[in-house]
Amino acid sequence: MINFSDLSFIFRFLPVFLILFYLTPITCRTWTLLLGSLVFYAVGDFKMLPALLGAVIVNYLFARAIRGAEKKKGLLAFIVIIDALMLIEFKILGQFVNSELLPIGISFYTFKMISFQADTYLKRYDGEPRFVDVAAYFCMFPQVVMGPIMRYSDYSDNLDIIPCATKSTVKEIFENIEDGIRYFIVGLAMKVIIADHLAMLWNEIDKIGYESISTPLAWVGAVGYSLNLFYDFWGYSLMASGIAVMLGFPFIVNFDHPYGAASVSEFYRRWHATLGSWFRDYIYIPLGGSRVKPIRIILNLLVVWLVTGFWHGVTLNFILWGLILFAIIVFERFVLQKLGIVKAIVGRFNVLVLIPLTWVVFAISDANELMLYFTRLFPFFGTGVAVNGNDYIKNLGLFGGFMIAGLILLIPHVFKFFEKHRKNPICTIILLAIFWFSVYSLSNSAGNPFMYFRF
Amino acid sequence: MNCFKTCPLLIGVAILSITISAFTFSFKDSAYAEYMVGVDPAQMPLFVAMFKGISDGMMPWDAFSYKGSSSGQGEATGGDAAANGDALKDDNTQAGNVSGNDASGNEAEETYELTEVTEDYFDDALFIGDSRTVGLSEYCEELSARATFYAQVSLSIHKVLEKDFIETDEGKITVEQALEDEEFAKIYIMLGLNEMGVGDVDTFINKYGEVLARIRELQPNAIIYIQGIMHVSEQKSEKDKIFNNPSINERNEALKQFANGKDIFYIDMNEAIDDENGNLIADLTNDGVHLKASAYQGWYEFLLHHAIVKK
Repeated sequence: MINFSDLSFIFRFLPVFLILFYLTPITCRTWTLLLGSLVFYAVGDFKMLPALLGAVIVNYLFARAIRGAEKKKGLLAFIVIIDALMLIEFKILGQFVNSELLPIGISFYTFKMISFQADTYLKRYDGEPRFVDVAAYFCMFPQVVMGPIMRYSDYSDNLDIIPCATKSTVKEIFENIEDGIRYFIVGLAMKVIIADHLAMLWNEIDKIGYESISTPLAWVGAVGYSLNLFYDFWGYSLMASGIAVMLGFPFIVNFDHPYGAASVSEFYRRWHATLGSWFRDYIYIPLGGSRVKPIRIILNLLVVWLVTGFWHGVTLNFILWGLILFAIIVFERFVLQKLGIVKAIVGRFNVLVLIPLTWVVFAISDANELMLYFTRLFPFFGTGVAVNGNDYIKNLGLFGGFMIAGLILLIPHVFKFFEKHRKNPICTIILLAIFWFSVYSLSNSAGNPFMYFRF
Repeated sequence: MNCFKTCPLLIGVAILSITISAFTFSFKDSAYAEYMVGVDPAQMPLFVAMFKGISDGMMPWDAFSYKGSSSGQGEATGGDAAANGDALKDDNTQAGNVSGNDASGNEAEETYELTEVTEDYFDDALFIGDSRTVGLSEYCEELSARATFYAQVSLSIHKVLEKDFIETDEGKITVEQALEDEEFAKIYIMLGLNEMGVGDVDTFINKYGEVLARIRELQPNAIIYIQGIMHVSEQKSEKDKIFNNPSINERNEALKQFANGKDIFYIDMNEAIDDENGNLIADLTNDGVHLKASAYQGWYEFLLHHAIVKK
C-alpha cells in the first residue's frame, strides 16, 4: 500500500482518505492529514515509525527554540548536525547491517527537516506553526516515501488546511481533486506502462550476464535503464504532486523535461528539481555559491556532488557517479562556457550520451561488473563470452515499443501539449482509457509476483 | 455545480469501478471463480479477477455463457489425464521399473545405456521447453545450429501442445501440429517450473503423462528424453515458497516413473550445474533461476555425454 501504484492504495486508501479529509471540519483537517499519513507509513514500515516520530518531535522543539533564541546560529548548527547524523547512521546501518534498518523515506524527510530548520532561521515563512502543522508537513503521505521535497512555505500555502484561511467552495475542492487525478493518471501510466516494463529489460540483461551481451544490447540497455529510471521517478513525482493537488496543495514540479536541457548543469536543475534546489539553497549557496574565486567554486561543487552521491547510496559506485558529474559540470563551467557554438553541440552530447552512461554507473554497484559492462559498451578493451550477436534484436522486439513511447515523451512539447489541453473532453476520455489500461496491467501482476518473472 | 462538467474523470473512474466490481461480484462463484484465487477483497478490488480473466482470453461477455471450467489447468482435465498417464505408468510397472533408466525391463527388448555422442547426434533432435530451453537455443550455438527448438518463455505442460507459438511460413502453429508434419529422432523435454505455482504434483504428473502419450502417438519412433527440471540457486530456493529445490526434486522424482528404458529416458542435467548441496551453483546464474549465457555450455556437454544410441 505504501506504493502509489498499488491497487490497494488507489482503490482503498486514497478514496477513503480523501472523503475523511474533506468531511473533517477545516480546523481539524491537519490532524486528519497527520493521522492518515501515520497510518500510511505504519503499513509500510511499522518498525521504523518511532524513528520518524522521534525526528518529528525533536525537530519541532528545535524550530520553536530557534524562533525564540538569541543565539540562533548555534542551535541551527546543532539540529542540522543531528539530522544529518541520523541520516548517515541509518544509511550505513541499512547498507552494512540489514536493509530493514533503513527507514522508508528517511532520505527525504530528513532533508525536509533540515530545510525547515534553515527556513525557520532565515524567517522564510510567516507565523508560528503549531506542532500538528509541522508534523503533518514532515509526514504527509504523498511525500514521505520519495519526495518531492516540498518547502514549508509551499505547505502553508494550502488554503484547505490552514484554519485562518478562507474556505474553498465545494466546486473548488472538486476541481482540485479532478486536476490532481489528471496528473496522477499520467504518472501512473508512466510508471506502470513504461518504467515497469523497461525494468524487465534491465533484468533480462542481468540474467544473460554482462560478459555475454552484445555491444548493441549494452547500448540498448543503457538507454532502457535511463528511461526506466526517468519514468519511474517522474511518474512517481507526478502521482505525488497529483495527490497533493487533490488535498489543496500547489503542484510541485520535480521534473522539468531534463533531457531537453542544453548542458549537464541545466539537466540537474530540471531533474529531481526539489533535490537540486535543496542542494543549491542549503549547501552550495551557504558555502559561498558562485560568488567566490574559481578554486572555491570548484571546491563547493565537489562538496555538493560528493554529498549528492552519498545521498543516493552508500556504495562506491554512487560516489563515483557523483564525481563523474562533478567533473562534467566543472568542465562545462570553465572550459565549454568559452567555446560558443561548440558549447551547444557538446552540451547536448553530454545530456543525451554521457548522462545515460552515468546512469549505468549509478545502476551497477559491483566494481567488476561495472567494468564488464563498460567493456561491452566499448568493446575495444576485450571480447565477450558466449555472446549472441542477435540478442538486441530480440530485446528490441520485446521492449522496443516501450522505449519508443519513452523516447517520444522525452520531447518537452508532448507533455506540455497535454498540460495545456488536459481539461479538454477528448483528453479526459484518453486519460480514462489509459487509467484503466494501467489498472489492467497492475491487476495481472497483483497477487502474482511472477508476472514479471515468468520463466 | 454540474458534476459531469467539474469532475468527469472522477465520475468516470468511480462509476466504472463500481460497475465492474458489481459485475465481477455477480460472477465470482462461476465464471470468475478460478481467477478469484489469490484475490483478497480486503487487499485489492474485486475486479482484479475480471482483468485476470481478460488477459487469459475470458472476455466479460463470455461470463454470461459460462458453463463450468474448461481450462486446461486443474481438475477439469484430471480424468482424461489420469487415464492417459496411467496407460504409460502401467507399461512401466509391468516392466517392474519405477526407478528410471537402468531398467533391465521388457524381456525381449534390448536395453540401452547413456553414452557419449558427437555433435551431429542433434541434427534430428527436437527440444521442447520453457525460458531455460529458450536460453539454450540462444546461447549454445553448437546446438542451435543443428537441433530444432520448440521453446517459449512461460511455456507449461498444460499448454505445451495447444499453444500456437511455432513460427512457420503459413503462420503460427502448435507443437501438436508441428509434430504431425515433421519427424524427429530424439525429443528432449524440460518443462515443469512454471507449473509449480498452480496445482499439485499429481496434476502436473497426470498432464505430463497425457502429453507424453500424445507425443508418442505422433512420433512413434522418436527417443523421448524427459529432462529433470533444472534447480534454482540456494539463495532463491531458501526464500521462495514455491520455486524451491525440494519442490523441484519432488517433481523430478515423480517424472522418473515415465522412463521405460527402451524409448523414454530420464536424464537430469542438474548433476552438471549443481553445487555440493544440490543447488544451482551461484556463479552460474544472476537471477537464481536461469543460467547465465556463458553457463549453457555445461548443459550441452552434459547432453553430449548422456545420450542413447540405438543399434
